[in-house]
Amino acid sequence: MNPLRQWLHRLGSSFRQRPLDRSMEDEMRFHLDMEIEAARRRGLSGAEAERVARLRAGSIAGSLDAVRDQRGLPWLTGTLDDLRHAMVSLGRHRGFTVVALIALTLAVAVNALILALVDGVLLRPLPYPHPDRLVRIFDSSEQNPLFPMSAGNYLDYRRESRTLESLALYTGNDLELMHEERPERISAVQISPEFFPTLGIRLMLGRNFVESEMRGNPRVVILGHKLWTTRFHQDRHIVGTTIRLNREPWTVIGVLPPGVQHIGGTYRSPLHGETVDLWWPISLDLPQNGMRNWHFMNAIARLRPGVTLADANADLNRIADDIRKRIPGSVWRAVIMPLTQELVGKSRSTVWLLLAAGIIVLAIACANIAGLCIARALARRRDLAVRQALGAGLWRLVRAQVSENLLLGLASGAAGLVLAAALLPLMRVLLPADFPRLHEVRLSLLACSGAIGAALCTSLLAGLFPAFRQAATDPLNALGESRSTSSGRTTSRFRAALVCAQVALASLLCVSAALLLRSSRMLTERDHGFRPEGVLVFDLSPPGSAYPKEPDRVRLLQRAIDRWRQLPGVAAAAVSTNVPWTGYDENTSFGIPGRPTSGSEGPQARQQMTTPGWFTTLRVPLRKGRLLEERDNAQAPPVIVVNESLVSRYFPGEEPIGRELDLWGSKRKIVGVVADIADRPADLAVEPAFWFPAYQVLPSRPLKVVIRTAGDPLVIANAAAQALHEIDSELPLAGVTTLDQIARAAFAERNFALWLLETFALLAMSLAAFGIYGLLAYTVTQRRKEIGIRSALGATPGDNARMVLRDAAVLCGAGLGLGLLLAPAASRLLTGFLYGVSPLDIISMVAAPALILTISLLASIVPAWTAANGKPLTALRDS
Amino acid sequence: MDSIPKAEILPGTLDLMILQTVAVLGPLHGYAIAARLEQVSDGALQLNMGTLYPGLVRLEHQGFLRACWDVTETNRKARFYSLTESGRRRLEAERAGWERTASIMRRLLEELR
Repeated sequence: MNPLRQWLHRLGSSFRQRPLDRSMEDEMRFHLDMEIEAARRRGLSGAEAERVARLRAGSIAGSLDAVRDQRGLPWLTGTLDDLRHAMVSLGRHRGFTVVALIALTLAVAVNALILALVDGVLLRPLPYPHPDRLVRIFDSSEQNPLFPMSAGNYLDYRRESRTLESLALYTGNDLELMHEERPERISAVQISPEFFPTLGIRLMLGRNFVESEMRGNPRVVILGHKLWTTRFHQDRHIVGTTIRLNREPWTVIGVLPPGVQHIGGTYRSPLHGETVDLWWPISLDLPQNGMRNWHFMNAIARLRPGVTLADANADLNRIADDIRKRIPGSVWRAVIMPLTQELVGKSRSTVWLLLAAGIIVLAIACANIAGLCIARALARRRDLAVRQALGAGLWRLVRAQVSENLLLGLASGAAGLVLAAALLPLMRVLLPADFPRLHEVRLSLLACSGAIGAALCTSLLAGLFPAFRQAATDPLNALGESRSTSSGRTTSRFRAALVCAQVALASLLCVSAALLLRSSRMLTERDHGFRPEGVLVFDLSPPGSAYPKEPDRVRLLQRAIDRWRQLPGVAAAAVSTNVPWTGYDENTSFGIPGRPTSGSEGPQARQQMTTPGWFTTLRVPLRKGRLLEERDNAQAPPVIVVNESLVSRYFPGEEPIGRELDLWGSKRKIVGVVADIADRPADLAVEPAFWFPAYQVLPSRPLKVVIRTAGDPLVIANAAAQALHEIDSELPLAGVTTLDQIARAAFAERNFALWLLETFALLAMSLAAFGIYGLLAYTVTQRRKEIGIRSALGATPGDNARMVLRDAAVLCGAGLGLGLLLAPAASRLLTGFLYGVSPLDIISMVAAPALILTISLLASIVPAWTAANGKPLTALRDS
Repeated sequence: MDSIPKAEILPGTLDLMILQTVAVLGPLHGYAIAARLEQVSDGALQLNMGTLYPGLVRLEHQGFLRACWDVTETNRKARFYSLTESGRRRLEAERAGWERTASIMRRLLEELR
């Protein structure tokens, strides 16, 4: 005999009860008919034959029962029965079911999304072999704690380190591809030969770069799989052929496999992900001072197996100490950081904040459903007591309640996942494009199972308490109780505690949301130092091969700006090295004549080059002196414009206009002081900065064009491109956007957190209000008799309503008190997100609770009204 | 007929009786099985439906019997049971087991006489 087969048979028949029953019934009817016929043949009359036949064969109903026991799996049939009953019961208590379903579905959707975020951003290992051994290494000094690495330090670390398996450099540097007569700027990164081996990436075709290719600018390039597919139709013979880059022929030496993820980086690097299309060698042909003083390359390393961060730190700093002794003026120490940490950066706290908020919402939903379950269990007390008195065991009663909640949990879990799947694209849109690892965020197995698990746990937890309570009560008591006697004091206290907890948790979320909201207000109302609206922005990178000399580049800019200014609707146009809030962070040290540098590090500031008109285009206010003008050209005396921070840092209390700065071997006169532009959108810090006149200093580097227009700036983008192509048809127009969009994107992560937190707070508030409503409505029904007696004794409707409202105020007050005790701790966790608002901001601490109190009182209006308008006689008669 | 003393069905013998009956007489419906057992026992064994059909269902689940709807000689629809290959093996095993038990019992009872 085959037990498995038998089990499968039984399992199968568990789900076919009804047709099987019918077939068996037919079979038995036939049997009975045959018996009757046999009896008739023995000479019995119709009725008598039937009686005898029944006596001999037994009844069909009884025999069917016996057969049913043989069939199916009893526990499964029992569970199916439970579930069927649960379904019926849930259908009957439609109000309960709908509220519980909605509450739990929303909580599950929210948590699924947040778990997807946590999993994709924080938990999932990076897509490289042994990602835990990948570290970022920075040069670090007092003024620049996390600075890119100089070429000299790279060579020393690479040669002398004992803890690194490999060390590689990389720095973003786009190339201009001419393909099928169309110029296009392609995202490209310069790397040292160790880059791919460090990450564990093998080339699909061709070979990697070699050491000698870091010298002498050999025009060799490795293609990313995406570019190879889209532009070169996966031509496997492309290795060894040449393509046209920056108007020169370059030799393709290799192609990468699909799915190579760039590691990203905050300085001169494309984002993490499949964002890079071309890879070319870093050049170490630097001037003598450039080897140690130019910091424009990011460093990534792989630790040897078994090496800890501390080991590597000690090892590299031993080398750094030695370098500082050998090289005069070197101030750099080494700082090591796991790649994941560097990659996720500040967004880590956003994700944790959201996770905490999501868990609070889930807890509130749980408390809410528990309250509902208790209320319902009380309402069904007699029904259950009857079942108990008739011999239903504890397990049987618990099972009935648990099946209902299980069903609820499963249904809302499934609905929550569907909702989450629908909301996921929205979340992707709301998050900024540079949010780390955003492309890895999806409804992963972990997110789905976590959310479903949370739904099941929540609903089961909420159902177990009332179930066991019921099982523990003496059925006789429950049966003997009249409806109006106060029911289980502990039960109502427990319900009150649940409501208080909901209010407390909701007030935590509301206070947090209020704090963030106020910070956002402060940020948007702040004077950023420039006006972003109505400005078109795009990239312009005149390649060095076509514009080798500075005067060539200056002439290009002058001609292009002239054209752009003549376009209809254009108020101003300019070209500069950067626009605010795009992560530009190029700094240089300088000297102040007559002032010897004190300490090891001299003055330094953010260096920018700009054509005249940039400040007027961005509406950066002039504070002193004059702005840059057309006459500040190569023939004129060298001048510079500085920001207020530079003045307050290096010329405090002095007249800056007319002072000189020692810059790159020549003296420049300060002619103007402009307002500070916040370096980053969400904090107050402004570093000292200055602007060279681009017509005097214009190294070959990527530039940004800004054009202020009267209307929608994107409308003139085509005209601007055409004007440019009339001057040089090979110049690609890339990165077209508006300053407004850049500003909005810079706030996107904050706004996303704020938006979610507001939604959560709203959700929490509604759930808490519903909890209060439910409890009060129930109490009012329970106390109908008491209210009736009070009315009969002369209490006015107002008195009765006041009694209910007082209950609501007490419940809510207790919850708010608890919430406010916890709020300072919670808001301290928020400090990193606050701007211009204290974590104990009094307005938030008052406004949020006041809102909750108002909503709670609103929620208690209906119960209060019921209490006020109860008919005393009806209430008394009812019992 | 009522005067005939009824025989108890020994636990575990029902399966053997059903299998043997089906094996000897070929595909049979439930009533025919019951009638045959009654006939063989001279009316001592009367299986009611509450005993017979659970046994048939069990044997079918275990894969010893196969059942299908067909028509009788009198052109009525009935469910016919027939022996499967594993049912035949089962019957042999049960028969051997029963014969051993019976011979032990017989010897034991003769000794006592």
